[in-house]
Amino acid sequence: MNPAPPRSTVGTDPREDTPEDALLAEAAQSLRARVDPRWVEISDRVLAKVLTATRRSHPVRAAARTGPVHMSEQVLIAYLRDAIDGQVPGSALAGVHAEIEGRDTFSGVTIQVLVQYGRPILPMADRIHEIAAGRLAELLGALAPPVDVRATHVHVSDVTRGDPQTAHR
Amino acid sequence: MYRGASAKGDQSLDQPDRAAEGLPDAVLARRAALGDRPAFVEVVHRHGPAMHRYAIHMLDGNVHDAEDVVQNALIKAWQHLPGFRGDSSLQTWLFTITSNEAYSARRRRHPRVVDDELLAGRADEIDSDPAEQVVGAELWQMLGLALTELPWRQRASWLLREIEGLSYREIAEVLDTSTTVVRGQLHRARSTLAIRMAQWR
Repeated sequence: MNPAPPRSTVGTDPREDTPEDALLAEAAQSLRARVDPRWVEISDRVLAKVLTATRRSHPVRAAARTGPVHMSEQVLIAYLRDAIDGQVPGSALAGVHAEIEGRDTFSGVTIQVLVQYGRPILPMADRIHEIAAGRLAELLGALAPPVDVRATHVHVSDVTRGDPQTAHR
Repeated sequence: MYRGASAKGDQSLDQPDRAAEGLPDAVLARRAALGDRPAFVEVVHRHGPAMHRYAIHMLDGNVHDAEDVVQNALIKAWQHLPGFRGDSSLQTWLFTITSNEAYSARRRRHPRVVDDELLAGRADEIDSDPAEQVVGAELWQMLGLALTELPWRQRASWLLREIEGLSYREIAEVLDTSTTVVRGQLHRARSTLAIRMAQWR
């Protein structure tokens, strides 16, 4: 990850050894410093439209007491995110991939996590496995065959020096 | 009640999460990829202004097209974030999407192929009419007008380097070219802009 350089380093490339270059550097500085009033005006409108966009998603069949129910794969991901991310110290959820067979049959889930370097990984993986299994049972009901969240499906994809909830690498 | 359910009920989705404000881009991208909308709202508040500024200059100041471009770019970003692997920075990735959207918008307006090389001397050949437009203008307005005379890649390279602060490698990634080409485009852009600004001054 390469964050944007601090403003003081922006625009240091131009040659400023001629009056023309110095003028261009001054103009660039004034353009950088200028607050875009148009963005202030449209940002709420743009954001409102953007937040109505949906992601492509498979339907997942759940078993309610009164009969089958379908939910979006994205709903399943969101509930697992809420259940797991930030709930197991030293870990952060990196990804959730629902495995669906046929049109809508849930067959398992792969949960990717980041862990803080030095933390014992296996107890964290066990805890995440438990939480995920519990939440999936709540969400999908008594599926036949039963919901399968095998331990091998908790995948530690990376380690971080700091708390992965707030740090990157 | 689940945290997600309560969050949706208690907090407006178009407001950034206070806790998200100081987080690194990569953490916001990870959360947004998992469907965390407040994290994505923070991404929009953080990068939207620069994306909009870039789009406006790439589209010759057409604010309506620029708004559409940024909106479409952000929608694509939201939809494709689950596939964002972090190989480039979030900023570079967002500028790549914005640049592609702006290019498509421009092609819809001007459906013809234009070679950068053919236009390289245009700034020197153009008549003095634009000077009348810059009488009394602020320096940034003069620069904005001068930018409209630059070919697409020169203009994009200059804006991404001098206004947005991207590295040569990041600009090359955004424009799908090499750092050598970026270096050449920047050199020509700077020369043309400096001469034009001095003429108008």
